[in-house]
Amino acid sequence: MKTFEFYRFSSLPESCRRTRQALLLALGLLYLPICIANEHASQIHGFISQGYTYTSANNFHGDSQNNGSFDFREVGVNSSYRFNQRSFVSGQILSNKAGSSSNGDLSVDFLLLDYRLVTTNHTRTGIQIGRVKNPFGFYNETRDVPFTRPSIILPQSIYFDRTRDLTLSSDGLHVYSSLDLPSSVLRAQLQAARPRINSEKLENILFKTDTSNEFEAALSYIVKITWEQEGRGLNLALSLAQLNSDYISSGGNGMLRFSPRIFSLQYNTLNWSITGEYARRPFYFDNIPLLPEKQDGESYYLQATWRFTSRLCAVVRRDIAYLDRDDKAGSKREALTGGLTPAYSMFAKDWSLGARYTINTFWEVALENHWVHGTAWLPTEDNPPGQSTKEYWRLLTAQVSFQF
Amino acid sequence: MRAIRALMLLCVCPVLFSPIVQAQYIVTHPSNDTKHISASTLRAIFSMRINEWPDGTPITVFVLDKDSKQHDEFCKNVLQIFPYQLQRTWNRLVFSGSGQAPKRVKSIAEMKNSILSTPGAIGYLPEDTIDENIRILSVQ
Repeated sequence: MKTFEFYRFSSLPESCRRTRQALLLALGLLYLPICIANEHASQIHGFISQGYTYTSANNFHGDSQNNGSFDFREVGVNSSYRFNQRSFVSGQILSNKAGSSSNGDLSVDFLLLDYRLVTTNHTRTGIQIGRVKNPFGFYNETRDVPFTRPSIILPQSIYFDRTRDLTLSSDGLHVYSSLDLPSSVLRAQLQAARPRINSEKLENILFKTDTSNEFEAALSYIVKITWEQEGRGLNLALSLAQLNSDYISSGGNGMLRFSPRIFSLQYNTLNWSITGEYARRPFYFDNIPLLPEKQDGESYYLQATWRFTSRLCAVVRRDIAYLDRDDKAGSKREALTGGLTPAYSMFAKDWSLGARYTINTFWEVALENHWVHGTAWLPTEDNPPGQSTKEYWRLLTAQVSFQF
Repeated sequence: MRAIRALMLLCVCPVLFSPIVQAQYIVTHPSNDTKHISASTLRAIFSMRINEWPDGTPITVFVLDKDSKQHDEFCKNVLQIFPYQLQRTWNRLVFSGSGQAPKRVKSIAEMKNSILSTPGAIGYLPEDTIDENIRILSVQ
């Protein structure tokens, strides 16, 4: 029985989608030389990182037990070209390799035209059209850029890396507006776009296996309001999203809706910052076999960063994730699956401690250790069903990054 | 005894005479009409939110490397923003495709040359490099 109405778009055939993807990639690669030609109006930036991950049990970033894994690499190049003071075009190509969970293929991360509609003394309002980054939480818009993260691995309770693909960017329209206040900035962002859903990946998360049925992205929405004090003070954000996806199945079509709400708060001083985010992550499944009608996840973390010098900083964090608020201990799921799904796979409680050192303008190194209880955010591809997992485990990771 | 006192003086001297970072002044291209600016507008310019002067000339922002003491001094005492907050803003703009970063120069001399040769330019310089060719902007 349908409990809600959706606004549906008819799904594109597979061949049409692939052509659109190839076109986007070609456009992205072609316009780089145009940018190189005109130095004044254009900029090129990028990054490369290489990581090493060792886990005492379970796999993360590839085969990380035993001798550890070097299978964690991020590469990105972006450029922008400004036509005039009202408009510019920008694009980024990305490759993310993380064990079996992310294959390192080149993809167009964003490719957009930005046009400023209205400018006054204290406000700026504009639109972005094309493939735009999804704005939610403090870190999602630049989650693949190593030196913009507070730690090597983002708080997984909110920024799950195993579903990273789904969160990166969407194709459509993004409207933004900012207001300058005496010592702070207020920003609003509104997005109506189709997310990039990798059906195979989503099926692996939900069903633990690939099926012959397909998830296809439908028009989705994100709203984000930010208030940021300049200098010592607060940084507040509220992000609301509604990600819609059709479920095409021979046994009758269905729908998936994911409506996360994220409250973000940060206090900044010269030498230290405290950051906390709280998310409610409800999933609604309509007419999808084996899945309940609703599953409401809850996540939160508290993080402290200390900047010893302009080059050296340390971070400590407590990160909690529950996949189902009504089953925080996971015992209901374990009983329901006859012990196949262990209770500890329904939550993850992580203490982490890390440090980052900036060598110069280009190079940074970072090291961190996680003490984890639970496996809620373990990537299914690195830990296929059939392989045993452990309830308590440690994750040690190091990363070198280069930026320009 | 005298030797010990001499040694102590030798150790203390470098600390006493270590270079103190000079105050930084906001400087613009000589053709710029604007003489005064509010602190909030100045922050909006260096955060890349405002990109043209009231007369329509595009603003080109020049900054020193984030490691430089002059940049540190400028951020904390003139802009009244932490250097890492400004860097965070530039990173977010560049890596989400929402804007461009300011132009980075390698030295104070390069900063001065860039400002003098780029109409609409804005940057910062220490007191002893300022002469009659360059225009100073004061913060209201």
